[in-house]
Amino acid sequence: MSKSFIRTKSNGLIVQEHSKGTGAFSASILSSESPVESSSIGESPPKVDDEDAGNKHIPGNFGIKPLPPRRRKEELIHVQLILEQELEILAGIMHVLGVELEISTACENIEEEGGGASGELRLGSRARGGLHNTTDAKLFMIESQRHSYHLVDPSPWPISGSLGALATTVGGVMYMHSFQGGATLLSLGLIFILYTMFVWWRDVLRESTLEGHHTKVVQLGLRYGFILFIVSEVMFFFAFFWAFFHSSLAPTVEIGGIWPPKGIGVLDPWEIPFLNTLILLSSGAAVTWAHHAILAGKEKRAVYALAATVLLALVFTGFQGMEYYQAPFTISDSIYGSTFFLATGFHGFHVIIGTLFLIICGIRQYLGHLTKEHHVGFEAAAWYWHFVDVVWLFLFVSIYWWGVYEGTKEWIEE
Amino acid sequence: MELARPGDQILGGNHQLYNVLITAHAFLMIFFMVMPAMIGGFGNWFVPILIGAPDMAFPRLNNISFWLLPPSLLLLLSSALVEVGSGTGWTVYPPLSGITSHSGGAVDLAIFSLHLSGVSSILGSINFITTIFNMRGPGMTMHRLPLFVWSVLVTAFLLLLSLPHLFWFFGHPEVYILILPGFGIISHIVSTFSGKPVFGYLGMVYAMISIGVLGFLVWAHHMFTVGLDVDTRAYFTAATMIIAVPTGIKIFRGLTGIVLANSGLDIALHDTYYVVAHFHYVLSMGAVFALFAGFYYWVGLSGMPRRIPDYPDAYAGWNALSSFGSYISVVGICCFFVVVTITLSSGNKKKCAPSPWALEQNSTTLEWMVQSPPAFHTFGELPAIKETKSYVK
Repeated sequence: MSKSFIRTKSNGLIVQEHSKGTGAFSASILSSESPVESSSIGESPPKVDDEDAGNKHIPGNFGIKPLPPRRRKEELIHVQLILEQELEILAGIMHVLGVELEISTACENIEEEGGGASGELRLGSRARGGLHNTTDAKLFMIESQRHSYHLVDPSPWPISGSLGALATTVGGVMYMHSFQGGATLLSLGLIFILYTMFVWWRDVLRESTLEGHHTKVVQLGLRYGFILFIVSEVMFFFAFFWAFFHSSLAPTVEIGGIWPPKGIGVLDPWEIPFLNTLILLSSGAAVTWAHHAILAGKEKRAVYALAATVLLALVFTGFQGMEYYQAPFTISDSIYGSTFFLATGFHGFHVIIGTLFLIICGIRQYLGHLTKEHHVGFEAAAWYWHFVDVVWLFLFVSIYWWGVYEGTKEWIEE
Repeated sequence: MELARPGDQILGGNHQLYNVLITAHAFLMIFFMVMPAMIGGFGNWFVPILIGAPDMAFPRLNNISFWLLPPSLLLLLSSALVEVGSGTGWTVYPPLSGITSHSGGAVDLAIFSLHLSGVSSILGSINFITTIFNMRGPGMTMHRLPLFVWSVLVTAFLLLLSLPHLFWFFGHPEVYILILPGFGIISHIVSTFSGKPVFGYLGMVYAMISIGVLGFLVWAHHMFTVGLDVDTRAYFTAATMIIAVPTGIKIFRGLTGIVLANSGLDIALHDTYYVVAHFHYVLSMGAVFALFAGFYYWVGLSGMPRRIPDYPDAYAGWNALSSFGSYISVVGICCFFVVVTITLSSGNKKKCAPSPWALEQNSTTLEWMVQSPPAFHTFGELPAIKETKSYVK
């Protein structure tokens, strides 16, 4: 499906067409700074004084009434008229920008079922867009989009991601059971998934930033989607906390009836864990600083704030790695080691994901992708970061602090 | 056939094989038949149409939800075929699922299969909730949403919250995940064939929401035998009884007329799936599956052991009967696939009318007002929804 743009830099108006292959046409008029409102040009079709205009000229009216041949002809001519008026409005806008467009409209197959009216915009010799409406015996259909949702083009990435998932899981099982080639298949699968993520989101950024498909309602949908994703993630961590409290609140005889279990040397919460708490909270503050900078239009300052956030995030991950390396117990050391490393490990993994997300936002901010009015990507990253932050607070209080209380009492006595 | 007569029959006394078969059967039916058919199939097709949206909110997310299923299915099937297979039951409890009982990769493959289908379902549920909240057509308020859409919405929340979780906390909501869309579908069908709007629409909606909320609070009733203390058991017993209230509202108030007896008899999910495929099948199917329900209920009550392919001779009569019932349902399923094949391969000759139930005149939902099959992206312009005078016969 071919796509092209008419971009006029002088005052930042972009008129955009798509789906030329099917003859459908919609235009988004947006400022270069804030792709806010995309409206298809036919949103308010011009009123025509006609005695029965009320029931017949509403395009897209799916009130299914078979049209007799005579009416079909009238209908087509009427559609042609609407198309012409719509194209004139568009050409008028482009005229203001100094771009002259030619308009041509026509009715096709006027005597047959499935006939249509079409209109075209021409810039020089090349067609730059068109409208096409058809009627048939049963339905009066309109092909131009009259709503502000984003109907995405087909994409190969979902299936490639799924194949990557297949390779990863099969490779994972083979690797865990020491089959030959397991590690290779596992790595290939992971690379495949990472590549898919990169190109998939690259496409989304292009559709949003360069093509202006992300209207207000699409942005709202993305926010809904991301919040729901975080809710699901909350439940994911809920499960680990459940496992932890299940094991620690009523310790079984197998682990000596105490928590931490007999023989486990624990980490002091007031050393690295507490420092990490401060670091993560500071990075949460820094990301809020970045948000305020973006809202105030201070573009450079937002980049600095994001850099500070990412820096603090990297320091946190570094300290976590250090502590893992020095920990006196492993994931195989009783239920304590299992719950500790599963919970903090998945948290650390989420910190890394959040850091990458923030890095991408920093780059996009530097490139001028994010604006005062439109920065859904940044908002999502900030929400995610606060989520990771809150999970850490619970980890710190329950696993690092409360969970070692009995263990540290012995230290104090010694 | 193994159970049609007492003693070892066709499995030759291989109890692991029996358990592998029932595990594979459970996973296939739950995660690859009912869930994809209800939510992935009917949900994806009808939710956008019913709320007046041109498509789902995130079509590519939908696409990956779909494409994750074949790899997941492949993993599940290979799980049954490698080494001794995974004979853990769908509960996958340790120590049976642990390395000492299942040393090969079979259980790992099954778990990864569930991971992939779980990811698929979570992405799908995010998509449904966003679509229903954000893409309703003008005038389509929440209290005007068709019941099927409501059932999918509640189901999507159950999926979103329960899937990333420990087993039984997921396990019980999963039961409602399987049945709620079926409730929604039945409501539509009953409304259509009785020629009147659903009785007690708002009651139905809030009953579904209650089922959804309570579904999270009753999970331990699956594990009364593990040594819970008496207070815990009292709570979960009471909570489980409370959930019967909204469920009763759904089934007895909602399903008026002839369907009442049938669906009230058997809320096993299978029949609801067939209801939609063809309304008439449900009568025979419902009855057949009621036989299964009766089998598990009465014979199970007498103490017939689960997960062992043999039983005392006293149960022989009912087992023979229910085995015969299962052959009948196999014939029914064959009929279903024959009809589908004929429909798909006969071209335009036997094309169904756009609205076979003659609903154009008095349709209460949008899917009967569009072409058949619906156009790509259905609505070029969003349909406006208004209340009209109530339908008087």
